[in-house]
Amino acid sequence: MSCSRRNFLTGAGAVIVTTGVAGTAVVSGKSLAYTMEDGQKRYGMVYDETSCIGCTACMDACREVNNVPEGVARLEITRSEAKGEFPNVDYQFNRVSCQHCENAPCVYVCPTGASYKDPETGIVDVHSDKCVGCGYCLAACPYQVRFFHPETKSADKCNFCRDTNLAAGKLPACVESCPTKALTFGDLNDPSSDINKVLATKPVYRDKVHLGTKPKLYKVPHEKGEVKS
Amino acid sequence: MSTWQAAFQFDSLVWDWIIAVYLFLAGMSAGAVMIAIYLKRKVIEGDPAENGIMKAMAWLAPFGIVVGLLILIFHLTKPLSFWKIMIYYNPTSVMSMGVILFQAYLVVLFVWIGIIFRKTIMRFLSGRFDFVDGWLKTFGRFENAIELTLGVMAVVLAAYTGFLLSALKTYPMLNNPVLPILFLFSSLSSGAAACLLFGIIGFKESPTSPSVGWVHKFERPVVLFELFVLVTFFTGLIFSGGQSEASAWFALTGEFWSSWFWWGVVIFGMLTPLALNAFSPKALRHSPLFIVVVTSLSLLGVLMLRTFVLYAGQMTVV
Amino acid sequence: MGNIKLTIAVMLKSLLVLCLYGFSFNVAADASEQVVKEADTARHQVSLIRDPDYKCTQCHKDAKQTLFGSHGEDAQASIGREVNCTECHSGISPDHREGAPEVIKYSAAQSQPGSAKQLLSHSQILSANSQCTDCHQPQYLQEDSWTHDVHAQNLTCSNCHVVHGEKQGVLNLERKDKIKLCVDCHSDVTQLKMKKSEDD
Repeated sequence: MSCSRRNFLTGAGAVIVTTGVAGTAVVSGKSLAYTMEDGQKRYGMVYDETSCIGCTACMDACREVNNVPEGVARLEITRSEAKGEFPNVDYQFNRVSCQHCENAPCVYVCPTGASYKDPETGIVDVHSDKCVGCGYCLAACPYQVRFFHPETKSADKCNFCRDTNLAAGKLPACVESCPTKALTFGDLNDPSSDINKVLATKPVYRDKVHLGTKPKLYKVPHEKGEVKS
Repeated sequence: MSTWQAAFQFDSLVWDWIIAVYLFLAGMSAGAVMIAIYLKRKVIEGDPAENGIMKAMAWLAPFGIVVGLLILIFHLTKPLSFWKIMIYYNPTSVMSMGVILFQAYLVVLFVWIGIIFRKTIMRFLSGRFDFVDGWLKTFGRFENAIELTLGVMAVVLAAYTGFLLSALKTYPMLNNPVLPILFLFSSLSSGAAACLLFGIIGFKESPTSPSVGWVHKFERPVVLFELFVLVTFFTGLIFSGGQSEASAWFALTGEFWSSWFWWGVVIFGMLTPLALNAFSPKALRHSPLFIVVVTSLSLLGVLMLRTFVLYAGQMTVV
Repeated sequence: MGNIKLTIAVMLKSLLVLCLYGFSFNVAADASEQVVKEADTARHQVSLIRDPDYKCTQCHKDAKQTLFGSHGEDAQASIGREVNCTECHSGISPDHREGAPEVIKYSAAQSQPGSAKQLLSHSQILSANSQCTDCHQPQYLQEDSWTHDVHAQNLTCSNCHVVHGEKQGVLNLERKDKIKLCVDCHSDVTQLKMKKSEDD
């Protein structure tokens, strides 16, 4: 193999220059995609499948409070097939909305940093002015809860009402609107919060935990049938 | 919904055929550059600017990358904001790092082509913009370093398209360590086919020249290895079980995309060109029509591969 | 010789008379059978000499009209007759001449706002609803809305549906108002449950 010393050194330099810049940036510095656990809030939510009646009042409340246009949704409640015979027919409901992952794939992949995790609250949100609309976060989210807002053209999703209800000192719209109190919202870092009380007293699961996303939307499983996470 | 519609429109689809075209163009550009660098350093004797393959690459590589990026810009939901992606960056994002790489690659590519074709360019400018000659001469002093840097960048760029997709945990068929390797080799095969097509037909390079001979010789192991990588890719998916396995079986045996893959990608895109190149009579091998047919089949095959990976990959969610 | 002719003639005539006599018995028997039958059917046949809903509508004056709003021409076409009051409001009891105080009523008690609800048992509700589900079969109710399934044992149909009226009750509501219906009732139920668990 004829490779002069000059060529070898130049080539090695080229490799280092090309890959080293990115590599150092990744290795050094605490990426905001990781959890800030010291003294900051980590907001999470529990969705109780045993209490949910599938009325979809939460969907309407979310749409109204956050001005979500028709055709897209930040929050959806899905209904299973009917199980059993009349009059003992059982339905199971499921909430589909942002899980506010601690290891959020959407934050990792966003090229401009528009998708970010708010270090003070642990809420995953979007800087819509920085978003260029490449769609990488839509593809990267394994829960498939992101969409393009028809008006702002920016990527959008549930943000726990960070700029609407939370900013006004209220609970998220879905939590407030639920007639059966199936939703519990609170700070996971606060041992005395409502959410921690629920997590300590009921069996819970989270979706797709094996992916390592560390989601913060917990679910109390339906009392019948297999738990599919 | 017809089968055709159902194959191209489904709920879990985020990136459509436009992205597949971009992947193809970026890969072809990188492949053409890698081949051209090797030819220039090891095969071509005399002035590389006279070589038909080099001339073809001088058009293909920038065209591929510029048109690819333009396509991407217009695919954004906010095309006028594209400049934001050039100044804001996120080191954990493959796309962000790719954009930086693209920008550097474009600059180095143009400089390198400028160095090689300095005389041609000055003749074209015929007296205007004389300072360009001075610049190109200065750059020419670092030709070796520029060439090697460009080579490394081309390799990374070819693999980048694979890394971009493999970062997506959502789609088990794409979230795969073999994908970047597959894309690197398909870039090489598409670069080779494009160089041959445009070099011989467009720039009148002789089919019996050492450059063409080398590219032909290079093509066969590349395509064979590409086939092996495909086998590894799908075997790995099947062995992983769960949704990964389901996605592989669906892609290989499900409706529509399996036909697209077996007929378009494998049989017409890889095996037919291989067979034609290996078994055709010598006289036929150098006829222009034969070259057009074989290289076009190769190119179409790579485009179909990228489309297949993108669509079939997005059909199965974790 | 003359006697024989006479004898034969007399015998033949008496035979004829006997035959006629026997035959007439037959005729009489048939006739009398018919007479007997007519008398039987006439005795058992009850012909309606009045409208069965008459007594109810003397006080509940517009109930028949309002019923036609929901169970009008389409219902009559499918079951071949009118729907009468006592088909749903059964349990008339022997006191029916004193205004039938024991008759089955369908109050929307469970869905009234406020936490005080008259909650019936599952079997009571099922039997009340059976009046409706005899015609409105469960599989068609399920196709129309899944909400029928989950309330089958928990609510009487009258809680959401207004039978004495045209397109009233839940059928008249837009999607948003339908959701409000769920929310209002279930908020009360949740409050009741929470109060109950506090008391325990």
